[in-house]
Amino acid sequence: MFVHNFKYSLKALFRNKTLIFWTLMFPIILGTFFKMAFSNVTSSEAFKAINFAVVEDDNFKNDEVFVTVIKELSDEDGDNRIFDTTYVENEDEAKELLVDGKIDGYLVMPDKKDDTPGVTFINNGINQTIIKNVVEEIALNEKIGNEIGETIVKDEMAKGNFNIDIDGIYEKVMEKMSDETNLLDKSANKLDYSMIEFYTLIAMTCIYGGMLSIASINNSLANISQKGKRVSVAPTRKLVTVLSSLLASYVIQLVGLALLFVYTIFALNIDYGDNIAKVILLGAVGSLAGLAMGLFVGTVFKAGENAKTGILIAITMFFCNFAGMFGITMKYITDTKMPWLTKINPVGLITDGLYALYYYNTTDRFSADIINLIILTLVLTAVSFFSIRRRRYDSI
Amino acid sequence: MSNVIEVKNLTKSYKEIKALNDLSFEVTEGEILGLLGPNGSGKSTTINCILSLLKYDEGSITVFGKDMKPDSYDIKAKLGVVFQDVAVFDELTVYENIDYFCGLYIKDKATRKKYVEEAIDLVSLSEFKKFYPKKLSGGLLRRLNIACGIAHKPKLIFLDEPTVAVDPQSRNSILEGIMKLRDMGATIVYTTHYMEEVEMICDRVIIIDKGHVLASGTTDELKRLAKIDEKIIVEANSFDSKYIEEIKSFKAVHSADYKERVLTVSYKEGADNLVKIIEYLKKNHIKYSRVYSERPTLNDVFLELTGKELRD
Amino acid sequence: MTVFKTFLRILNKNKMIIMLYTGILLGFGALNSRTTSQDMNFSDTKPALAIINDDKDGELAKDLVRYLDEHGELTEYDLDLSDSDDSKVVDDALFYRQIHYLVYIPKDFTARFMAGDDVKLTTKSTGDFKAELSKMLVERYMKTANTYKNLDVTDAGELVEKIDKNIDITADATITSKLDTEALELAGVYFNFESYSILACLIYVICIVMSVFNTKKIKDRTNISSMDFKKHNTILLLCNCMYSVVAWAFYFAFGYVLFGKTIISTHGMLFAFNSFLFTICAATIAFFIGSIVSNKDAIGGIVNVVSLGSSFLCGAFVPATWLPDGVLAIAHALPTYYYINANDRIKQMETFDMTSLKPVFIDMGIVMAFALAFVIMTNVVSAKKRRA
Repeated sequence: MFVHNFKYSLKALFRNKTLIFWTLMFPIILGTFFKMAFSNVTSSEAFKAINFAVVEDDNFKNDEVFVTVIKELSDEDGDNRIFDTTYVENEDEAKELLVDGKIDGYLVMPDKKDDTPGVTFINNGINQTIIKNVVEEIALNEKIGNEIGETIVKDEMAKGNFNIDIDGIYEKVMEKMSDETNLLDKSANKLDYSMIEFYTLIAMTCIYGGMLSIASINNSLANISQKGKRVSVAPTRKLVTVLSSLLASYVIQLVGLALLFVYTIFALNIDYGDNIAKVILLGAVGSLAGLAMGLFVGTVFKAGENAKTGILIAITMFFCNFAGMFGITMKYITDTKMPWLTKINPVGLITDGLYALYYYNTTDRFSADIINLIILTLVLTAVSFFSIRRRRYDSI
Repeated sequence: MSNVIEVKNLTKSYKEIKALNDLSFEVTEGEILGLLGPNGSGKSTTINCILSLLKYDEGSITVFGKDMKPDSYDIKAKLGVVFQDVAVFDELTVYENIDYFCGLYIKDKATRKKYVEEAIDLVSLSEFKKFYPKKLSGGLLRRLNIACGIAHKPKLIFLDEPTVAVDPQSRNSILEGIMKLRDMGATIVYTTHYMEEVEMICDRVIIIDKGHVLASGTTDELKRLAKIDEKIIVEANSFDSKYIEEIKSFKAVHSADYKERVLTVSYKEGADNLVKIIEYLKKNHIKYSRVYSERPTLNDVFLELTGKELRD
Repeated sequence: MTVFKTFLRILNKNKMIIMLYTGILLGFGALNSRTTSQDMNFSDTKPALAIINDDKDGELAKDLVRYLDEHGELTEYDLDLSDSDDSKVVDDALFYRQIHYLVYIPKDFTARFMAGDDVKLTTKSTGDFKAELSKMLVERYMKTANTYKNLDVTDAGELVEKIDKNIDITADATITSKLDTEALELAGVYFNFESYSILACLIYVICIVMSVFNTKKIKDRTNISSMDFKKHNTILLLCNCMYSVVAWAFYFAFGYVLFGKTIISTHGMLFAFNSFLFTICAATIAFFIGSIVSNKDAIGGIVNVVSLGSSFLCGAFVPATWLPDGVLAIAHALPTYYYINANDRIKQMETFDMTSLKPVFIDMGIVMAFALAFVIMTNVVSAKKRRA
């Protein structure tokens, strides 16, 4: 009976071309979109020069350091380019450019040498912060450089040398200026923003398998489909029907998951790290949880076909949201303020397991997630089973 | 002959409406029992309760002598059901559909194969084995529907209005097939609102309305309940009411109605009613186009019992 | 009139699921606008970093801490990095972005630095922009320290003195915007998110309704009726638009609850108008999809691919400036892009004159052009289907 129902459930599912196509293909389509959208985010090299203006008044022209450095930083052919600089004659011109949105900010050198340079922005953002930091850095180095220069000149003069070799001094100053930072980076693997989205995508795929199990279980429910009536009248135990349908959905779901992995690894070049076996395990267990979720929605909610599909989609989105798909901050908030939600959120458990693999050295967290998923699956399946067992309806 | 089904005082309400109202009847082994009643009388509800698909408020149901429950697997193994709506997988072929549903009852592959082939022959679908349901016409689909319900050779078969919207040719072959099944030893419960079918194949008939049994018995027994023995129909373009009143006063006449150019005269008894009426018409020079005699129908029975027609 | 009534009845029959959907999607919009910006908001120039100082007596160490505290949002941890539990606390804090950068000053740092040892400050970073800012701060300090050491300063105290003379240089930043950037930023996120939620909601609901109208039997009846199919389509479209407007109104009302006065400001009104136009466009898209897709099993996948996909590609979740050029090129073919583009402009609008409003109106016009295109496509497709 089990094999018989399994075989035919599989056949029926497999021949439902539309269901199969969308359930298997949409993660791949979305994955491609994600990859396209995120391919720039992580590469810090992909850097657009910042639109910047300098008020080229006497105050500026007299400050050699600033003139030289800004020129270097604006050099189109140079290695250090970060600015696309426009030189204007006065502040009013600069203001116009700013208001028109042509520049992110402009620089005005102070009248007095020791005063700090002024930068003006409309509002604060990445580019503006960078401008501010660069200007500060130049000013700092200028001050230090001048100090060193003065000291050297004083020394030379003290030695009786009044020939001031400016280039020579410049070189000596540059020698003294250090680039050494004494920093040793021991960061754990950095979690790219895009990896988080891919993990959520894998999780979403697992959960969408629930569509398959809803379709499957609908065939066995008397109040949903006519076929369900037949099955209910036949001498097959509900447990057998449910489990064999579930297994059939699982097979198809695993095929879909395999496709997704193959596609993301080979076509999109996503790196899942060294733990590919564990990742696959997580996917397999997660799929089971997704199917159980579909089974649960399909059996416990007394509603029509359309409504149940809608409920599953809604629940999936709900869980995806709290797992961080629309913004990673959501995940942080959930984990810190509502940890119980993560425990029952299959999408959250899967994404969390994936992070844990990538980020932590021990497998404690990963194992905990796997166990939680298994418990969730068992609970959901048990509840579903008990709700349809010996069921009689009020009306069909 | 033992009772295959015993339904006692079955009651079920949907909110304020009583769908089944103290319904009681039996089904004896080897008979074709007809459940006749208008739409909404509770036929399908009764079947679904017997099958343990629907909850009921009061009463008891035994099948094959045992209480019927959702987990009465031994009883279920002997049941076959053909529902009103076609219940097949669109994604499986004709053969696969029958094989699937038969497989829910028959585990042995060899036996099952034999049964499936026999079922296909019974409903004459041999040419369509590899077809998908979408490609079948309404009549063929119904035949498939039936095959799926009886392939496993059940002892008790429920057919819920299996000939609705079916072409006359398919309908006849379906009715013949049902009689064949009975001849092979099955007991059949057949619900319908078509009285012609009931008269054709049912051994016994139960008339139900508003969830209650109005009458039961063989077709002839029921017709006697109609209190009329014969009906004579006169088709005439016009009929003077004074003549109608006269005819009404005849001794054997139960009632006379002139509606839409047809005069229907119902007789309680009598042997030469037709001759007498023709003479009367001749005597009074009443013009008519047709005169014929009819036995009472189940519709008349129903009309007598409820004042309503079977088919609304 | 009959078409309209039927539409309403179908809506009513499915009202539970429709409300569930609308509710969830609106809820997400609200939640996300509250939470996302925290990570993307750069209006603070002070990065959040943490320090573990095991050289509490060292002058250089003390000064570094002082410097970081003044120029950043410094948290001082009293943890032992070699202990795995303590290390986990740090890792978690970084993971959850409570801190973006950690600096560990080892024992005897000052002494060993002054002695010329190659002593290192261990750092842990999240690698994002805020971490980079913190890193720049630390680097600046250390480079200065090393420079002065190169000048043969041997006493820690003297070194610190020299560093402190210059290190606290800050540029004089003037911000001219009088806008409440944070509120506008949040509102912008909320309305950008709407591109996903409204599209998802409308596609799903309208597809449900249309699948009823498109069941073969009903469709056949409609086709042989005396009603001009164009008229039939138009009425259906209007019905769908009517539902869409209701959904939009909910979204807007919710926005009012969340953002209050920002919504009724000129900015808010512009946001609202922009989103209204987009909603109409979304309705036409949903209608188009509803007329070509009749299989209910496909709806789940289609809803997500179309709405999530277009939102991602057009900059609803990832700012458009971060998207690669190739993606942006594709995005230009989607109406969502122009909607989000207009939103971003509105967000930053200082004055409401023709120069600043013109590009916004152009974007809005393009969105409406898309809507018209979809309506035409729907009619073409349904005409073809009738003849098939």
